[in-house]
Amino acid sequence: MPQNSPNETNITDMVRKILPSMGNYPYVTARVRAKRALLLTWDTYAKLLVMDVNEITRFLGESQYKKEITELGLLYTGFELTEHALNKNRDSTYQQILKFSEGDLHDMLAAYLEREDVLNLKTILRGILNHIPAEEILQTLRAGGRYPPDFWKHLIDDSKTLEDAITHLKDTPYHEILEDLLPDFQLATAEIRLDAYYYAMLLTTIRPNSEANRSFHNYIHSEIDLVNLKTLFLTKYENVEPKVIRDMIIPDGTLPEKTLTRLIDAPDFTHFLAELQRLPVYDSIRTDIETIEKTGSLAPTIRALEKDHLLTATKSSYLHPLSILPVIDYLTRKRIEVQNLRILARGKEKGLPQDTIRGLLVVP
Amino acid sequence: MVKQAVKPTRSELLVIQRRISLYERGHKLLKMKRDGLVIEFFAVLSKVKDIRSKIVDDYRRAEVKLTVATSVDGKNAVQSAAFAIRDDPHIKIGSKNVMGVVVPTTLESGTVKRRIDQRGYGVPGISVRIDEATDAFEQLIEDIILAAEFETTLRRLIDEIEKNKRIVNALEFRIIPELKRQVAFIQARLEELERENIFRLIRIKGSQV
Repeated sequence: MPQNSPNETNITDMVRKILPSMGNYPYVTARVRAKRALLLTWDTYAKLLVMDVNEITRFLGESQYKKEITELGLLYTGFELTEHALNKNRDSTYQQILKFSEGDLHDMLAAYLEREDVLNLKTILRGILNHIPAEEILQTLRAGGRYPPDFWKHLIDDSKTLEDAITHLKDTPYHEILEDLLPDFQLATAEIRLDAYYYAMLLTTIRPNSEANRSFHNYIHSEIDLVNLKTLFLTKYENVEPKVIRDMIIPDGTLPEKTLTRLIDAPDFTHFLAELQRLPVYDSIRTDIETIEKTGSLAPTIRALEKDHLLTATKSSYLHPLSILPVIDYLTRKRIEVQNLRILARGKEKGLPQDTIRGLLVVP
Repeated sequence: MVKQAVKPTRSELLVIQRRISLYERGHKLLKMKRDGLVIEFFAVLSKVKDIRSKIVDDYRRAEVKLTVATSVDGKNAVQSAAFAIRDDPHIKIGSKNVMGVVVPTTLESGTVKRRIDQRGYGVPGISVRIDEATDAFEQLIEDIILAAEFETTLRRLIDEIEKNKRIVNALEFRIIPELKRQVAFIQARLEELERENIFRLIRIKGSQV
């Protein structure tokens, strides 16, 4: 590799400082396209549907999950082995993509993957507040986020109380959010603030300087809508007071303030559904909503909303092949694949009916 | 029962007759109590049967919900949500009197099942599947508490019916017949004394003549 002269290096550094650095989009998207080809297809899922847990584990042991299955084979068996291997593979894939991305692409991906860190932080706060042993908390953490596993390990080891944990987070943006809630710390409020921070931070990181980035922006806005709709479904179904619901809403979604107010203030669940009919999203969940009264479960409706949202990334990625969208699409597909395989293994182990398992699967 | 020596006197006869009448009244009352307890037992039994089958159904439902939550969201997510709720359910137990039998009663029912905003975790970040599994298990615990109340009541009623049955049987087949035998013995003895007296009087009268 030719060495740059000192002058050239200085100029490059100066340009990088002044201008937002460009990401290595062609390289990352090419790597991601190659990885995407390894993802399982619907035909494979159809075959897996008729296998038992051990056959599924064996199948995974011969696929891209081979390394993790071999590594963890001595520690776990059956479904436990499948779940741990899937999680480890997903986390290492996320980290791998994050490592080979550069510039603004890296920043956006790191911001996107910070959702894993927020999940870890929530788990740690729950654990510390309820005196869960450190070992148990450590086992439930994810390793796919911006912060390395050692960071979380030190946080757990050094924090005997909530105040210790907040002090330990001094150099992170979470410190201010959590410190504001002292002394009457409410876990639920802290979790809502962390979710709101995550989306606000992510939207700030995505610079809407290109069509692709604007699409990504819209994707995140629609994800906020999904989170808010899910909150509304859950709270209205249990008749939670509008004042309490209002505090749970994540800002920056695409739903207009008036619509949100109408949905929040609906006197009961029937009126809420009537208000929901005015939204375009209603058409995609119409059939699932009809089952709520019969089954007493919101899960199929929310799952339909989630499926709809997960597939949005795929549609946008085709329009902008050299942008962050194919990367996000791949991360989403990877998450779906891990989820699908877990559904298959767990469902088979616990004897869930084949139709139920099929209904839970998401196939892009 | 050790047989007591019975004095064949008129006063003893009156005492025993009074005891028989008291025991017969008690026997009648205890029989009525036993019948009442049996009616109450069958009422509680149907409740126990209902709650038992509800527990089985709710347990199956909760298991399926938990399986779906673990499958879709993963074991770690479910465990993380479980960390948010660590307070053990508190129930207040009182007591009520059912025909002299003290049975437990839960003073505040429905304290385990909580609304989604009272479960400790933040609603926007929680999966609907995990929340539904939580809800199903809370319902199951409420059913178990109710079942514990009904089954304890049932057990105490059975004990009381057993005790009652023993007393009724003892009165009916042992004590009252024994007392009646004593009455018959005293009456026979008194009649014999009476006859002896009459005979003695006739003999005295005859010798005087």
